[in-house]
Amino acid sequence: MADGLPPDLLAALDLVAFERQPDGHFRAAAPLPDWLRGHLPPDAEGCVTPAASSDFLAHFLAIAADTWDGPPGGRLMSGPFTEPGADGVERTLEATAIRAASGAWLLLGLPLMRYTTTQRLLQAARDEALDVERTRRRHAEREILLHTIVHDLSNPLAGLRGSLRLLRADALPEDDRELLEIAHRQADRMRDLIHDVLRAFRREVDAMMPATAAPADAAETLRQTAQLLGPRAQTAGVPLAVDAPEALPAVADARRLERALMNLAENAIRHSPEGGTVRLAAAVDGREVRLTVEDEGPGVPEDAREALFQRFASLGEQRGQIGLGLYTVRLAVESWGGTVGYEDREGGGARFWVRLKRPRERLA
Amino acid sequence: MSETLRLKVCLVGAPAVGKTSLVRRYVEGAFSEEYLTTIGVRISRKRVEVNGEPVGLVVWDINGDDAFAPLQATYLRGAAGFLLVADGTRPVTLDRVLALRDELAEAFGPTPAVLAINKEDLVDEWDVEDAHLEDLRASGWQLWRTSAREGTAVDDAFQALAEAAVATARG
Ligand SMILES: Nc1nc2c(ncn2[C@@H]2O[C@H](COP(=O)(O)OP(=O)(O)OP(=O)(O)O)[C@@H](O)[C@H]2O)c(=O)[nH]1
Ligand SMILES: [Mg+2]
Repeated sequence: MADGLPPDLLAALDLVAFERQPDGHFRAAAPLPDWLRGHLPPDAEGCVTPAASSDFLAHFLAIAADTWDGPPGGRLMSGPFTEPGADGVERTLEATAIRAASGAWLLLGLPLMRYTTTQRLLQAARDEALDVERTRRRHAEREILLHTIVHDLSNPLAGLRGSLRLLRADALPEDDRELLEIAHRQADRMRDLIHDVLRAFRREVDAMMPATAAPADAAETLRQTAQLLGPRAQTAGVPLAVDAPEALPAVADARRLERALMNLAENAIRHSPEGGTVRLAAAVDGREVRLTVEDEGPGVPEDAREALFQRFASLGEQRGQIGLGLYTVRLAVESWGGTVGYEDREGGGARFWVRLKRPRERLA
Repeated sequence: MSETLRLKVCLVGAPAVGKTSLVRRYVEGAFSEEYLTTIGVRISRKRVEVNGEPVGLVVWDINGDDAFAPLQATYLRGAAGFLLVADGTRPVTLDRVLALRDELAEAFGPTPAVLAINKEDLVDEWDVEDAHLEDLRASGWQLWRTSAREGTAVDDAFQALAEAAVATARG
């Protein structure tokens, strides 16, 4: 065996080295620690027969034969396994088969450190995954409920609007005609509201979906957003300016990022005075990508800022939307590990910003 | 004393479907609400009787199969049977374990398998249609709606697996 290796070194690592004997026994290279004696009782010579008392090792040794009979340098690791030992105590161990020039070795140890770290990481990942699944499911359920309710409202409303249309206005006295007109308008409003509710909730459910693996080109997405909003900006008399590099990869889903930017840019156009420019910009900022949408409108009043990205915040009547727009932007951005916020624009106006992670460099 | 037949059976399925809980219920008669994800493999033993003969079951409870820790084929080698586990409150876990069944058949050839749709006690959250289960039965699946928490059909599922495994092992 390795003469230079102090016997207490392996013991300090909670590792035991066995040399494989021609008769299939395994001889320990140093005195056996208690945990091992409990798990695999040695005979008088300090030899153990792992296959006799460990179901896992019986399996592992069979697979390891190829490694031991192979060229020096070969190595096979079992990964953690948990089983009761010969003494009935359950232990988590790890085995490594090594073919060295000095012989065929079996290392057995307690994978304590790595095991607990791995366990913690895996546990966190899985708890998180379950949470996301549950939340998504609750949202989906609520959406179905909402659909049902909205349909139950939609159908009678359609009937009501039909009847109102059939009412002959010219046969009515002047006063009643006005009342009919009001009824028409209110019924239309109700229909629009139902549509808004549906659209808003569908967006929210969409925003919960996990991010895709492929990064998005934030610069290209920004340009596309500007292009899509071009006609609307023109109608509103608001020039759109875009400032972005050629390409700017960021951790996000391109389709949903476009929707988030649309949301911010639509808001900006709506709040711009005629002739005030809306600026969309994208740039690298340290380890992140920063996207901004600015307008020259009144900005967000101090007292409304805190609730800005909350579920039912509203920037006031004229937004004509239930206050889910910025909330869904936040959900989407946070699902990619990014952040979103508001600040005043120097010289007046609003600036909404989105920070996204830059993707990892490609391997090799 | 005659040599008892020893058979290795493996539990496979998505994380958190209740593989470890089913084994604990079956072997120790216990249950815990706490979720402690399994790393690698956890082995337990249980003696059963099949056709009046004692059989030693070596039960391999294998870590849940997902992107974080994919299933290791080496753990599954030499299995005389598979207990495929799904969570009846999460239909996606049933789809996944059925797909896994095809992979197993491809990798290890025909091996007896029994399906456990677990968490039967969670009636309100149950989300697998009876009609779907009937279809599976009709296509030859031995399947049980189990509850590791209440103990429902847990012994039945393992016993059926043991019987199928013994029948195959004895040829
Ligand atoms: N209500 C109910 N809960 C159960 C049942 N079986 C398991 N659970 C719970 O589900 C969670 C996961 O159970 P485990 O047995 O650890 O699941 P597993 O399939 O071994 O998970 P991994 O080791 O991560 O693959 C735990 O919180 C259990 O308490 C059951 O029959 N009914
Ligand atoms: Mg487990």
